[in-house]
Amino acid sequence: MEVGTRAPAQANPLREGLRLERTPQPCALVIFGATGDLTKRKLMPAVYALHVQGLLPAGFTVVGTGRTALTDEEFRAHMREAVENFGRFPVTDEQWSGFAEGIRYASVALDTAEGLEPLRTVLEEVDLERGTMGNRVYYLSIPPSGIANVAHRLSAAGMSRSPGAGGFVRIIVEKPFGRDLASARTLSEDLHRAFDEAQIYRIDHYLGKETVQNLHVFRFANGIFEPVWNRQYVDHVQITVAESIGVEGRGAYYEESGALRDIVQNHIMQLVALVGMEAPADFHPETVRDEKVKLLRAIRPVHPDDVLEVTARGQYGAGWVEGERVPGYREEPGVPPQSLRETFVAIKFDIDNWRWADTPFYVRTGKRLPRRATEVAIQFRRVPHSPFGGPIAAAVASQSGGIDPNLLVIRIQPDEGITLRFNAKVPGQAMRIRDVNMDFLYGSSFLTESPEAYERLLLDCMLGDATLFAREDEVEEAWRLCSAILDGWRAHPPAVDSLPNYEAGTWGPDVAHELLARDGRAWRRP
Amino acid sequence: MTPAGAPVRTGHASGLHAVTRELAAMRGELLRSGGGDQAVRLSVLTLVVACADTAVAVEAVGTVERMAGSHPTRAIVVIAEPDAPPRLDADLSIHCSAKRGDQVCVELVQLEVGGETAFHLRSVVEPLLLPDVPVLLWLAGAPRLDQALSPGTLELCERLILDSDAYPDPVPVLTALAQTAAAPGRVKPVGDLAWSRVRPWRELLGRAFDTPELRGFAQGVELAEIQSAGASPGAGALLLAAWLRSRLDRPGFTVPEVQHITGAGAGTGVVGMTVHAHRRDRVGRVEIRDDGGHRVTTVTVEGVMRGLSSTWTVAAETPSLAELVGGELQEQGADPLYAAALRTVAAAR
Repeated sequence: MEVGTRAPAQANPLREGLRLERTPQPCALVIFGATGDLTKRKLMPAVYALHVQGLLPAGFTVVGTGRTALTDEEFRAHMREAVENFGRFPVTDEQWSGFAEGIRYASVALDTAEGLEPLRTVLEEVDLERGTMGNRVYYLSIPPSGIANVAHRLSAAGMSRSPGAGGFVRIIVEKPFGRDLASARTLSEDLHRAFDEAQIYRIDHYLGKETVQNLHVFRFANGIFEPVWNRQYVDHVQITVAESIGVEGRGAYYEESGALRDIVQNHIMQLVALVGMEAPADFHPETVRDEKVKLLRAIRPVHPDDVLEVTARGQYGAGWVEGERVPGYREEPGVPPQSLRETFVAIKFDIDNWRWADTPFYVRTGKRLPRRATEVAIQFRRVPHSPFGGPIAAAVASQSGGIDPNLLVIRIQPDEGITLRFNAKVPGQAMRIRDVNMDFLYGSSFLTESPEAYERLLLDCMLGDATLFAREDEVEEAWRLCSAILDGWRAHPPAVDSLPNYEAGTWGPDVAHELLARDGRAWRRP
Repeated sequence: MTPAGAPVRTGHASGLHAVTRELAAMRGELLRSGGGDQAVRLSVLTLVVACADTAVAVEAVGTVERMAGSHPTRAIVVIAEPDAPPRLDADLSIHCSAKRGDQVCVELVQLEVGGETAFHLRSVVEPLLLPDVPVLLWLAGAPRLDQALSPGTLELCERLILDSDAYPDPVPVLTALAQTAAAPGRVKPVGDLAWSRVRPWRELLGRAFDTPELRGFAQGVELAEIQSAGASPGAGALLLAAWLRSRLDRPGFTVPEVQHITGAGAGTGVVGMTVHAHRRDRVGRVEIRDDGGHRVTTVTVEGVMRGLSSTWTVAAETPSLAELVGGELQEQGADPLYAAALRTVAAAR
């Protein structure tokens, strides 16, 4: 049985009101793909940071697994180097020695039935020596094609079920969750043959970011924004996830996925849900995720015939980004010279509910854009009538094209913060109006460092709190929308010589600008 | 905590009008000099520090300077000397430190007030408060509480910071605070540094009762022994004891007896605690003690089955004054657990 956050764990009044009201039970974090990049850059630094902050249970153990044969000592040395290079806390011998006692390694072979035996042996030792009582978190840091197999092997070895009352076995899987609706369902079915849905934690590290969590707080802990958070006051919403990097040597992978699968299906759809959802009655994982799913269900799927009107595809050619000359996508290693794969996508989503009818959500993401920026911009409606008429208004209009509507920007990265733009009178004899910004910068109001997303998410998983993880139906609803677009694109492939259609270091192709221009709107510059 | 370097601006003024004028000029000058790229972050709150004497004021100024990098604050450090000749002199300075390219600044006003005005500090301080930001009043050292907790003082601020550990006889102080907290319409959240110092002990004990060995034992806590240094239990030890009793004072739980063991080592404060609990026919014990720079928690359970035991060690948190006060600056609202502990101390008297 999985213990949800609402289940009355045996009462411990002595933890109430403290920084973390519950400690996870002792458990083993088993990493599949422990010699990979994610383990080095993110997972081990996050686990070490939790250790330094005293947030891990006594007896907590990391078991790395991989095909490579390594001794515990060799693996520990690799991990220490990783934490020293990528961690946010300095590594001291004193802290490390206590931490390293809880690091083990097991060499596994995933192609045979007995291949997991070395892992089982290590885990049994760990249970005895460190009191982990059969509690496990499996972290699958492996290519998506291997997920179903690992789940199957764990199940066949009898290692996928909880050890008994109160204990837990959970599995964390990384995106992508499939490559379309059908394969996402297949993946879920494969996982469900080995694990219950309550055991499955689909990680989208965006949801662990402080600023993304702050979206809930901003919307539902403030009384003044919610009344205007609807079609009556909001003209439209723009969500941008811009990357300045290219495919970074992963051309072959990217050729298979593209921007829609890589960013829209997960990160962007999550942001759309968080911005558009209704207020949850409480912050229980299922309540919050129910509201997100409701919003995703209300989004109108793109009809294949309309796909060219409401979406824009792009692919970058050579250009200059951040002062450096960069090659075009088709010149990247692993990419065919006639590739039609999109490295940029913009979509207009219509949401068919009372709150958002006729208020579109425009989303875009792309590689090799001028800068890295993720933001949500709420563009409010213009004033119904401007009293600043006559010659002054003409002067104003000639400078700025009229009085700008108010804008609320939630910056997710970098420079995390919130900006509210409003109009003010320019000092002087004349009635001149200019927009000014009211800024909230995370870094200056809270000078403590924010935890890394992976720290938060790993701890939540150990505590059994799935609020910040994607549920099966969330993933499927997001795929329903993205698969419809993929189908439409397949029916309307671009001509080979129409791509590339944007120069690296620009804000995407003309078709993306036309997408908004048709509605009399324009993209903002993040 | 990033310490601030030398002040980037200094000034001196006599008389309140001159002080406000000089302060505004310095602030404006700094904001303009910030220029394009480097934003200047100025005060998000006003911290008024009431000091009984110069020695306390010197320590308070040092603390504020050390907080400069993390807490953009206007700090008004006031020394009231009613017996001195009438005067109002201020030393003004702005300390900045770079933080991610931005400058974070503390405006420091050291105010010496002599003569009768020293009895009317509110009238001096109020014109110096920043608009629209919270005001915190830090009673540095161990000032007399009957004056500090007057209605006029409480109206001025959103939050009160003090250190009940600084008082040699803490029980009347904690009782007075309990009464203040209970007075209708006058409730001001109190940030007590003594309460913050015992937080790590609360966390370790709370955590011990979350271990699989001791799950469910919190209901049967019978006896706690709190060891503290010094000849009598300090405010921290009293609050820790009261917290434990108030937390467990609920249906189905045993309210434990708490014994204080004093004289355990030099200095002041809590140095260890042992808690005995039972569940059915099993007996559990949690022992937490200071061991050099570490705190060692040992959990043992004896009973029908073979005995269980586990031990873990964490680095002992010994926050500096600047860290403790800085922590209070980030808090908002009252801590109901502290209020409950105060009530328990007052009720036991």
